[in-house]
Amino acid sequence: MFNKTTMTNKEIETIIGPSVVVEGNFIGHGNVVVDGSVVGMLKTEGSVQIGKDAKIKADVEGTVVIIAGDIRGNVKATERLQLLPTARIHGNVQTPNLAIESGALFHGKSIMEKNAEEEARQQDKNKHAAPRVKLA
Amino acid sequence: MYVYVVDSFVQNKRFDRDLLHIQARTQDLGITGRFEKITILKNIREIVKDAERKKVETIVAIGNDHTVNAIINNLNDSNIVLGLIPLGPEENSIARKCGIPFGIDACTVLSKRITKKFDLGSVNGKYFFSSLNIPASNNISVHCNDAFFMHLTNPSNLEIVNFTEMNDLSSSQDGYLEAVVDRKENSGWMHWMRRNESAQKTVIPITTMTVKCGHESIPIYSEGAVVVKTPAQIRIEPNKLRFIVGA
Repeated sequence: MFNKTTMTNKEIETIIGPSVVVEGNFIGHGNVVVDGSVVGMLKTEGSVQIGKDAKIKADVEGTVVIIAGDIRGNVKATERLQLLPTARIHGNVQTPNLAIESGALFHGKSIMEKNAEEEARQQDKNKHAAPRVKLA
Repeated sequence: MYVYVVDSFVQNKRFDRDLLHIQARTQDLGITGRFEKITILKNIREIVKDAERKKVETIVAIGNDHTVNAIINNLNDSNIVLGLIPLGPEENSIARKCGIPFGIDACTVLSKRITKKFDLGSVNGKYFFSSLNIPASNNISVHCNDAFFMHLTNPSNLEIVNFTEMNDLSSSQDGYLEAVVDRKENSGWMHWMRRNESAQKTVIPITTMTVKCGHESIPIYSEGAVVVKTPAQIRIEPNKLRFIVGA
């Protein structure tokens, strides 16, 4: 389902399967795959994959967020957000890198801004860049 | 100083030769100690308490997973190192997982003394090394990490895993237990139709968990035996055990 962007089994640390409903504030540290339901909040320091049968009524936050299911809530991806053709989002999204595939449904506002860390890195790079040589 | 705790099933005649060889081998390797047999008159609690009083550095279980769990549940001094000489054909997943060979060869592992710290799970104050099993039930309510509830939409087995033979050994050193929900498998053609669904497990890392089952009290199993009944408080105890492992 997730083609090239699928995480390997070794990287996945949390799987919320189809027979489970998680209700409350779920805060993870690794990668999360959701094929069941989440109500409340889903936040992790790793990436998040929302399967096509997943039902989310929660704010979602992760580094790379790949969505194929149904979300009612705001989504924040600090690196990249990808909406697959079966994705349905009712909420706002915030990410520096957004990809929406044909067929995906998106009702909301998108905020695209580089995160502070990346901006600082970019500024640092510019500072240390070699000075331009003036041509005579 | 070593104390060797000989489980009651090892006192069967068929293990006599093994025990004699093990005693001889421990002398050869300079890891000799007292061999204490678990009997009706001397239970494991007394043996472990006695060892703690005498400032024993290492307690070695001669038996299987049950022997290890019984010792763990009676250890109060966290400085004591636990070793294992696995005997008997069954219930030896801890030895397999930790690279400890069976019988007399385990003495060599003990003498090398490669010690690692492991997390232990605790359920209502009782420790477990590998996992807990909560059988499928309709009214199970699970509160995890004091932050969220996990509801099961249909009756499913719930397993709380510190480590299994399938996982990497580091899974019992990561400071987390894993709540694994396995959909109750149907038999017949319905199961065949749903074979892909049943392959989809839920795995959630947890540090604390409260399991209730409405007004019912259902048993929770560890290593095939009932350890407690619901309601149960389950938590991880990081780096609780110092255990001698193979290479």
